[in-house]
Amino acid sequence: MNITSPSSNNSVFTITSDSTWPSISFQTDATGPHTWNWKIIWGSFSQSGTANTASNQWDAQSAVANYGGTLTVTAQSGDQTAVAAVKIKGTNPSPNDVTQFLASNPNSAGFDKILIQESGCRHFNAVGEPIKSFDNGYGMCQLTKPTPSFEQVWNWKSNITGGLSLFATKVSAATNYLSQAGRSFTQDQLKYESVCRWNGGSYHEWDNSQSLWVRHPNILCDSATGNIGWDMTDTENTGKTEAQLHQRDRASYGAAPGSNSHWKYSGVCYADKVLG
Amino acid sequence: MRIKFWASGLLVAALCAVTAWAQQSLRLASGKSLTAYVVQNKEQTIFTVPKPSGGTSRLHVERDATVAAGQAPVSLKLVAEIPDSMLILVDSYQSIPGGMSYCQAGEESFLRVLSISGKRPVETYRTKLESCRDNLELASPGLEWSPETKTLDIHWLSAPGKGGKPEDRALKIGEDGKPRAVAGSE
Repeated sequence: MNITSPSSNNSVFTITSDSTWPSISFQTDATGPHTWNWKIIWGSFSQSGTANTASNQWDAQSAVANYGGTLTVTAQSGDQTAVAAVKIKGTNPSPNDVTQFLASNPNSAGFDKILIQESGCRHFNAVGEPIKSFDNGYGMCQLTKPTPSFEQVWNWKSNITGGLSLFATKVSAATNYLSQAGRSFTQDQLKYESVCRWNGGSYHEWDNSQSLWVRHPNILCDSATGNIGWDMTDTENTGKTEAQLHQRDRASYGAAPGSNSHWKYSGVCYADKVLG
Repeated sequence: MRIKFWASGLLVAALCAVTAWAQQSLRLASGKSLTAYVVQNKEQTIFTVPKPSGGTSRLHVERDATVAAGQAPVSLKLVAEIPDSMLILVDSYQSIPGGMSYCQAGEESFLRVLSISGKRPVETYRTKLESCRDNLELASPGLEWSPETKTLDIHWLSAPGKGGKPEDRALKIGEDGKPRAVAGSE
């Protein structure tokens, strides 16, 4: 018995940019009922299963939906078997696809901008496999802990949903912070506060004289960086311009700031950079 | 091989980094200094605590998994002091950053009560105070010390173990330097 379709081993099937899995039709030259044992592997991730058909054809699409890598299928008919392997690869969404997907998720305001800033909305590398960072962060959201599922690794929408659950904790913390003591806030302030907290720290402070939330007034950002800024109440920084401080400190940006540094990573500057 | 070529340089740079900024100090009422530092790649912070009788004692204290091994404190604050009896400190660290710059600018803070009346200093109380990784946050004001009643009030906007909910906790410091939760404060 032979598998006649796909016509060649290691044929490549591609997930579309909107995360629709391809039809992968297997067919043998035998007749009668078939059993299809399948296993799909990518790195340390794997999934397997069995399907039964009354004929010599089977479409693996629904079985392997949300998974990618190398799919190996063993077809069995009576006492005959045949094996074939194919590759499943991915296609990156556009930033517009990501923004549209996030628009359907509550409490996601600002997360699209983080994704654009951090990953350029890229989920797959040049050969169509999920991006993997040095610290085992997978996909567009670089999910690390808890270890992402096979689905979160290959389906960019599931990956974003995983990242959003983390972002939701920041939205919740931002809401608690801004609403303390019965204070009111705008949705725009909530977005800045949430994005700031994603990177670390609070964006706003309460201005008693105006009875409203204002951006921390003493943080000056280095606009040439993603999230580096200066506390302007530090006497080493007071009175200096961004250009002067940048010139003074830029050589030390390669490592995290130490106790002798007069610059710092700042969530306020991160939010300003990401949200504009 | 290029990595080997750079290895000695990296080692020197790392050692310089430790000696250059791996400690924080604060001045006590006695005029003596308390210092906090970390030995490279170790997961404990070491306090060098001045003894009433002279000299110093070292006290190893725990952080948690949100702080990288070898990470020195970025700040050390004295909240309250009963001379030769008790210290309340807050030591803060950079958070371990996650993917996509998550908590890269975040901090993790621990409140500790140290009894210093005995031969050696003892940590009698520890709680996580603020955290980017765990979403813990103090209200404003967050810590209030009453020297008259020897009571520390902690006001959280988002308290540890409370799932993002606030909490007010009062700790009364005993003569032995050990805190006791004031009934009804949690």
